Amino acid sequence: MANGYAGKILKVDLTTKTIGEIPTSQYEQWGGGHGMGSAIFWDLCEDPTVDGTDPKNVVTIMAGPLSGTLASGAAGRTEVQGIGLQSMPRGWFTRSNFGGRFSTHLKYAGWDGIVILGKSDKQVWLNIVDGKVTLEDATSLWGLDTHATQQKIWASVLGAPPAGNWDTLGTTRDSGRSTQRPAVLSAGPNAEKFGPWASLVHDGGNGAGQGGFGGVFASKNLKAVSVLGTGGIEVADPNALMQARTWLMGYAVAGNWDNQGKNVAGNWPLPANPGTASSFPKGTALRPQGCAGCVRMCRCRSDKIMGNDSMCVDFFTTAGATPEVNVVWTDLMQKLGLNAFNLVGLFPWLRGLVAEGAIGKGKAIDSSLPFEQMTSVAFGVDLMNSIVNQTDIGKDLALGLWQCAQKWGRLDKDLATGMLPLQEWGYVHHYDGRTEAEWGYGCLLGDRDINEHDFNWICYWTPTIWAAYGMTPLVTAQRMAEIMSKQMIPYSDEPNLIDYSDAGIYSETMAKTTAWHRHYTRYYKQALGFCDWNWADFVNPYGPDFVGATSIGEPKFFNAVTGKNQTFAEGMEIGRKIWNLDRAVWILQGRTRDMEVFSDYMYDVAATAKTPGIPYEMPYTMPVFENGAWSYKSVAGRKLDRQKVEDFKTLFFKLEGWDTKTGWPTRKTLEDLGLKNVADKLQGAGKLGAA
Amino acid sequence: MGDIDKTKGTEPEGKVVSRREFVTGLGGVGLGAVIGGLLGQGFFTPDKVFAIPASGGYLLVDTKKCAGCTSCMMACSLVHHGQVNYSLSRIQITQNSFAAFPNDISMAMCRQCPFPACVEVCPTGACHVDTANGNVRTVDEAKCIGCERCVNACPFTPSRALWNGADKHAQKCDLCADTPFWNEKGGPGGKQACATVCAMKAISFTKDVPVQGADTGYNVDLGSTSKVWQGFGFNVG
Amino acid sequence: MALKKVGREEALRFTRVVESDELRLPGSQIAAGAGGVFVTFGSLAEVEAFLVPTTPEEILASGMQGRLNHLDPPSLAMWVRDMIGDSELADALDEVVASGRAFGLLVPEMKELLAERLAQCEAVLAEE
Repeated sequence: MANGYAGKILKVDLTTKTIGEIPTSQYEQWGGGHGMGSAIFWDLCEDPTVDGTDPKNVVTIMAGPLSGTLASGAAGRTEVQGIGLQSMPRGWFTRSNFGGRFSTHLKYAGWDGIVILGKSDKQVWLNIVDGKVTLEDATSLWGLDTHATQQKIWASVLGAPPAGNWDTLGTTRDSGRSTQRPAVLSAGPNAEKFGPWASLVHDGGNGAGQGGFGGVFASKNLKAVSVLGTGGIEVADPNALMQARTWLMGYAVAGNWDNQGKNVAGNWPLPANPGTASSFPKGTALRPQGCAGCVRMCRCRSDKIMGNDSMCVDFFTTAGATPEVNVVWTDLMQKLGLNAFNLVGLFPWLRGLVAEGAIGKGKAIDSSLPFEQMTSVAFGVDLMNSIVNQTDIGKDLALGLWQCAQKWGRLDKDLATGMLPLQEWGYVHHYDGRTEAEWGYGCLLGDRDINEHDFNWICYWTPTIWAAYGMTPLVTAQRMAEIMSKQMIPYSDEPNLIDYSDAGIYSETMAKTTAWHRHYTRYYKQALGFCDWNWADFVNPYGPDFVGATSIGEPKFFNAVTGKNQTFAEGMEIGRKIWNLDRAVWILQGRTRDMEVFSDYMYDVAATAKTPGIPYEMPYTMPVFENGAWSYKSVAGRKLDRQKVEDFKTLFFKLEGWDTKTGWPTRKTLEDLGLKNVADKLQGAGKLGAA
Repeated sequence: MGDIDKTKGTEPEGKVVSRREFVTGLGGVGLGAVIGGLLGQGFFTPDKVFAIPASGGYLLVDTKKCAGCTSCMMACSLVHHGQVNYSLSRIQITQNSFAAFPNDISMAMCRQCPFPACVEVCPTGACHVDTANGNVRTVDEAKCIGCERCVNACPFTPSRALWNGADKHAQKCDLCADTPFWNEKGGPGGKQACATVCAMKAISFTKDVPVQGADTGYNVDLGSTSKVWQGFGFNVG
Repeated sequence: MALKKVGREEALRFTRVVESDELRLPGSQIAAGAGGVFVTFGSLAEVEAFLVPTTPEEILASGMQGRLNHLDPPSLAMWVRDMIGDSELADALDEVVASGRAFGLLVPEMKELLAERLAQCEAVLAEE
């Protein structure tokens, strides 16, 4: 059927070593990706309260209908879900995703996703070549790094190292040929030893970094998944898809190479961008590199190999080292399969401990790491190796940052000051909930740091740079609010959705913004794969009157591929459904409203530095609506009010149709979403929200 | 050029070159100039195997600009077959994340060879020069008997003529002359899907016969050494 | 913007690292995709190295990998005066700040002033 789906989902039971199939049609209403993953987890996980290392944990690795197509900024992502190992006080049912070419090959192999159950008695890797699926011995791979593992698997699947010619897969002349290397997703060496830190890596640096999924893989005795597809995916309206592609290119430099100086705010979104390029040592020769089907190309490949496919946080933004040092660390981090974001939080914490005299040789936290040279190659290498091998402080760090702080007797103290910057659920502070409210709330009411920059780019970063340079903004705050309200269906009748003022961040409209964001990301970004580097596209210098592609572009691609006639509003409603299903899982896992609090520093410490007598505020310029007018204003130096956050939660729960006392969805809300079975299960567990 | 053999009375206007010179790409520039001079004309080799007109168009690539997104492969298979399928794409991008730039990506597009081995070996004339579409070298699927001689004859790796195992015929780049799933005019006189979707402008189309033999005829600078590109920090050098 | 030459004693004082953490100057490195982190500086050299003259176009063109090294210019002047003890340099910085321009536009001049003072100090200390 020409609808973008392959038609079947692979089901692998590692305990019984059986390979089965689930018809995709059974889950098609959920879109793909995260939607299908949550629904499958709901159906197949006997007990979501188990630890993530329990064989009962169900892992899904899902593509979607747009994977492997020309749906730009959507074709390349793969969504991973399961009970994670990273969050505290317990591992929530969580998600991560990664780019590259894995979901493309999965689709071309004839699969819309992979479901992994149980635990193998032997170390294995999963080998998928079209319809042929086998479990292979991974004993010789288990201690290898992610790069070596992938290259060994390439040679194994193709029978020899790839030679660049057509390889015939299978035994007949028509059984499928390819010039491509298998797409492999791998955990790091002996990842069970640093599970909460362990990521999954595909190619050079496409990482499912957060959540500890490398540790989950290892707990199942699964080292890697390899897929090579020689088939194809039929698309409902190929011509419409081609037109959509060229239409979207008009919103990027891809379609405006000759028109780059168009706007005062600079050229975005650029290919690979100088940001990635500047992470490499000067003089490195580079190319931009992009995931399958992309128009933006946010990574690089270099003539030194190190840092290939890596970008952004992979390059150790908080460590203060030079690019020459960073690129060595980045390469090692990817090879070891370590969560880059945990390292982002670790460096400031270690610097604080050093400044306090609390860590070092013979100190309270005894360590032989070269703390006197924290920006040297040796320090980063030794630190990462200590985590992977459980030596020196690595033994405690490998438990997870929260758990380590707890063991060292410093958890409460360092969370109170923010020296250990874990904003919520033990996840490293990314964007600041004190200033950019929808980010903090989205994390708090969910399962992890959201890592969704939809509002962050246009409402925080861009105005901050405009202000830092005294520029005339591309659009006024009022115009920005108008454009975005229109796009934020179904809340388009609200004019103040991006009011980040002191009052605005606790308001009912911020509750709507937060809810919109949860629903949009669950469906469009995580179920259909629209990438965070391209979408949402709210305000765009190349758009007509600076209006970006969001709310038009997403359905345009989806409908061209699937042949459906789905509206943006309908997609948002599916997102609300997925969000409610996830909420139900967390509730079964023990979530209550009183658990949903930020770390103390978010309430007690303003987002300012504390050097006495020397004022400083980290720049944070956002749109605000105050005294009847819109403006861009610095909202730095804010801290959250505990009671106001609690009141906000009540507003949010009410908006979402959840019991305001507990934060649990009500029967009516769930049944209106077609989730009666979910309501029944929650009721059976005594956790259904009261009407 | 050496070895010009003027067999009286049998050649058309224009130059004659030996097959050996042609296939080995003697001197590169000179041969290209000779071929360029033959644009639109036919020529004979001394053995008079057959006479073919040069293609009216060629794809040029800049492998230093290619970002490996494979959108070209998706577009190619989509417009020709209505499905996205790497194995049906008539342009192949291969990449290795663990290799050093610029050797991490290869772009394999059909060269529309002036002396196409794939056309020469086809026993049924399925692989032929399409005079109705700018002399593009293409496969008439109805005539293809599946012998795969064209696939094996292509002097390049991977072979530019490829086997379609599902529909059981050979196929190759036709510069989008026949794209039933795309409402744009293709062929040498129209648009090519791969170049259209390439966000990096790493694929372009030309009517001029590229220098034959060496890669440099087809792998050209499409801006990878430009100030703009350098300004992005890519330091291609 | 010529700063007066300094003597050896001044050179030693101006190039030192301040004696305690409480005396360090705060700033931040903010990155579009990754969030911001507070940093502190203990010497003129550290501040000089931290200031990166760039344009907003370059930063925004970097997409979510755009980065800005930020500090508060009036606080810089105050810190140079009170903690480092270089009142002439502080006066010159105050003059730059008084122009009222946005932070990013002040960076090249602030960096130049710091570099000038550091070069002077280096020259004096090399003479011995």
